[in-house]
Amino acid sequence: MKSSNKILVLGLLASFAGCSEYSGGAYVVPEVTFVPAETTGAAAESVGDVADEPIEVASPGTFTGKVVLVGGGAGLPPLIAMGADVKDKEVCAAVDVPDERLVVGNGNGVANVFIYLPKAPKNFKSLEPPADPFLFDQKNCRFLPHCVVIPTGQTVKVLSDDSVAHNTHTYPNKNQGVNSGVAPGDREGKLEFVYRKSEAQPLSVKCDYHTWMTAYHLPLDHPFAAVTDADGGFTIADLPAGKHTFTVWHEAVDGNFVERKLVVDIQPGGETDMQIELSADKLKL
Amino acid sequence: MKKFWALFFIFWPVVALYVCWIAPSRGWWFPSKPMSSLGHQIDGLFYLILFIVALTFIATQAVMGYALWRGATKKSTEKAMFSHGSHKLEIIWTIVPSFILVFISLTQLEVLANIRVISKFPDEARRAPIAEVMARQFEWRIRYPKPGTTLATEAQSGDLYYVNELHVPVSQPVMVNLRTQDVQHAFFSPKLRVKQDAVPGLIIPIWFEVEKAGEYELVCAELCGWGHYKMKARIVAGSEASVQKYMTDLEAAQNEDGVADAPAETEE
Amino acid sequence: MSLTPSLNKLSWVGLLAVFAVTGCSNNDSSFVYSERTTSLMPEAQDGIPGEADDAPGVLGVKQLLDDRFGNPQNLKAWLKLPVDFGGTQASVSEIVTENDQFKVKLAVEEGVALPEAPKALEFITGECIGETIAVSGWDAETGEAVLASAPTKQPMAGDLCALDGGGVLRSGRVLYMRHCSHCHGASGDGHGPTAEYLNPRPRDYRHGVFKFTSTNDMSKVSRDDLARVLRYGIPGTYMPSFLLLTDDELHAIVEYVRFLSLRGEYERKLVNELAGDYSAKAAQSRVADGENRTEIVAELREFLAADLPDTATELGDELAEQWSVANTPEALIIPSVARVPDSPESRRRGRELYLSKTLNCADCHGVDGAGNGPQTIAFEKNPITNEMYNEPGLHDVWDNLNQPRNLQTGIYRGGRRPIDLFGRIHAGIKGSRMPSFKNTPHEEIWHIVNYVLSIPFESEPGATGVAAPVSAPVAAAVAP
Repeated sequence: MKSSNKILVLGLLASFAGCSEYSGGAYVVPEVTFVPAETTGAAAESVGDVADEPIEVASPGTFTGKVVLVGGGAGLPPLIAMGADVKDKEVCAAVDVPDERLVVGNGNGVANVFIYLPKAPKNFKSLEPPADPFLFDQKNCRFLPHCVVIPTGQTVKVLSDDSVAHNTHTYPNKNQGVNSGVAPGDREGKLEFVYRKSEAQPLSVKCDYHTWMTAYHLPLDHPFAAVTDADGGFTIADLPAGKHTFTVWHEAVDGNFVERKLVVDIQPGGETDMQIELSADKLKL
Repeated sequence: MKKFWALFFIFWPVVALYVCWIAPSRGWWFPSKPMSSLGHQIDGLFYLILFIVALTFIATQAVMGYALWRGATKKSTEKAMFSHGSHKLEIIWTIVPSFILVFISLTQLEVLANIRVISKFPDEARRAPIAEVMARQFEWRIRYPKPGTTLATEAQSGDLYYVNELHVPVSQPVMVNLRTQDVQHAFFSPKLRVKQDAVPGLIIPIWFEVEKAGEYELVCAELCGWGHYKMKARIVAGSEASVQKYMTDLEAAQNEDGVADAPAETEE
Repeated sequence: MSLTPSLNKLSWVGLLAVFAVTGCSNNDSSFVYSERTTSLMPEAQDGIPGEADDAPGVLGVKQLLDDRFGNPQNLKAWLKLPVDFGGTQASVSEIVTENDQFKVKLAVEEGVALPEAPKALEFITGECIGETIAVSGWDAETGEAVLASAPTKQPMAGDLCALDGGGVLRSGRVLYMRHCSHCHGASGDGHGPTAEYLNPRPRDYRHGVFKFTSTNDMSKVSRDDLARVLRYGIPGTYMPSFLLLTDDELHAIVEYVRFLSLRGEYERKLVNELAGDYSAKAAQSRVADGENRTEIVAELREFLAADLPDTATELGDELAEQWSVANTPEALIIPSVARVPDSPESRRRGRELYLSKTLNCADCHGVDGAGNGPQTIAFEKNPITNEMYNEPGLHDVWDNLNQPRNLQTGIYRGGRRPIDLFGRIHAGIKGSRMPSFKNTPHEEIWHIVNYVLSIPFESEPGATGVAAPVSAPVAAAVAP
């Protein structure tokens, strides 16, 4: 056989080595190794204790203040004007529905800003959730309240003061979501659910029938949080003395964080007042 | 050496003939004995062709063997003889095969009519199709008529649905309406010797009579996509009573309302 | 005669090399990491190597995941998961070495049966962790195994082990790769090679959400539900029926799908803990706000070392709980009344409820059930990212366009039995925009079920009973 023929034949034979279809890839029978249920995995050695100031058994202080809008910007016109041609307009356009994405009050105070400790302070003993349920209402196709902090473990009852069907669809990160219809005029709150875990950021709550309806819930396992009132003011009481790092969150800010880490030094028995600035150029409307 | 090669090339056709002789009785020829009445007729046609082809094979191989042997045993001093062909021979070996082919085509007309011509379907099958078989990439969706009613072209309220399993009564002619939801498929049951293409837009009736109770494979025989190779279903042939029971159970399952012992009714 | 045209020697060598090299391809598959994982800071994904005594090395999300789930060639069976990996779990109660024979006496948990003829024993905890040894003798009464060879290290009483472990997972993987991975992907992410040609898209298991379940709205999918989908397929979609697989094969595939789903959900939950502060975007905006990147990494190191391990254990426990509870009768939807018999009155009542303001089914499903309600043409925003979707209409949790079902076709993806339709209405469809109507009286739900089942057979659309109300004019998209 000529040598070039031999090489050709050899080459063809060698190419069959590429036929690994049944010797690898998708048909491989895998090895299975068991991993015990309690596997440590992550932590190597535990690090020394936290860098926060040691909590002294001193009397607690209060954190108050106001969130103001600086650099221009103002509140928004109504989302739905009275009488507008929207779905279920007899109910949803019976009155002006405000655009709650940015609500500005006296002295440029911004409402509906969440100020909270992302985690409970060290040595904090968690409290029992309130026995009474939190009543989450809706009227004229608007959730009431728009922004709220809810203790974990507290039952949330969803009420409706409208004569049209709504549904409540929550989008939490760590808790289980809820998507359920709410009957018109339900004043007892047949739909109820519980947030079992703290969330790192407020979660949105929407209605699928009326997609402009939005609310924000922040479930936390401690009470050191507040939502600014209509004029941007807030008060968080009974804070253990020392330095705390707060998160300041607003729905219309680009990236949502007004401040990721607002360090506040709480004086024992005293009041720490602070004005937090929200600059208008960070708004994303 | 020449004799060896002559014998070598005469030996193998003899072996082939022997295998051809014993193959049918050993079940090497067909997937199994035919399990339907039409299957016997179809197998008969196959055997007829096998017979004709075997005869032709013997004739041609005998001629070849003779030529080989003569060439092997001849003295090598003989001169070659050149031929300019034989017109007579060419006429013979054109006309004889064409007669054979015409013969085959005429013989099979009867069987083809039995399979395809709707007016020749057994009455009982034609009157009451047992199911609509909707071929779909890559499964077979079956729709039975509501028990006590006749299968309609359009889905009716109360029709029973299942997938990949067709129940038919044994020992009676049954008809199914073959349709396809998307591309061409083919309804092929090897043991029942049933094969029919499903064409989009057409409703094609197929009839067959299963002779023996059991489970038969239904496969797709028209390349329909990447899942064609696994588009399989089961045809389960059982007694009339067992098929009735199956339908009753299917109806009950389809009307299940999740409440354990409550009777599920449907009343118009 | 040469078979080949004349070519010089060099090109022959080249050709030969090409032929030989085509044999050396790596066909191993791998699990993908979700987009959210890969949008974390690289340190969060891959971990941070140790630097000093007070800066220990920490594992990132990818390693945490690989340690518990492995890769498709080397799967890890994490015993916390409520997945049937195959085999029997046992613990060593006694070790006897006599006459050259290494015997191990095993104890199983209550309710677990000892296998008849196990072939291999794998040590899961203790000194001999990871060793698999053949079993040469077995006494099914006492649970005493004679090992073919002594383990390299000394096992102790209380060590966990598995007899013939991993069989179900192994066959699940092989079957899954053959039958399912081309649509659902090797990791169950719904991105297999054929997936891009399919509408609706194949399920992405990694959310841990399955649409067609018989469990209530707060529960996960049960094994029965998954087996049902495998057996009967999903009509109206590309999910075929696998009725012809044996029960064992179906069980293995169901367990593997649950395995993949648990992996995806565990990954998602781990990343949830980190994404807020340690995603690449968050790190960028923190640096823009004036923080120092090294400080952020140090903070991340601390978090991964001190906080995440406990949270990870909690998450694992939570998942295990949720997925096991789903298989219990408590999770099932059981109507409190039997189905109201189908009758014209019941259907009329069903239509009344369908059109009523209380339930307002027509808003999405359309006045005549054609799936063309006013909701379907409004633009909306993704509620999690707040970005507007590209196409109008409703979207599901997988960000696919999720049109309300056209009830006139008579195709019911989740099953056509009355209990299936009851379940759709009562619990909604998880992951989609169909809400649950669990507070509606069950009798009313049955009326609606009777109506819905009759819609395909109406003499003309909307012919059942009540006259259709005049539809409200469609709202211009109100961008919130």
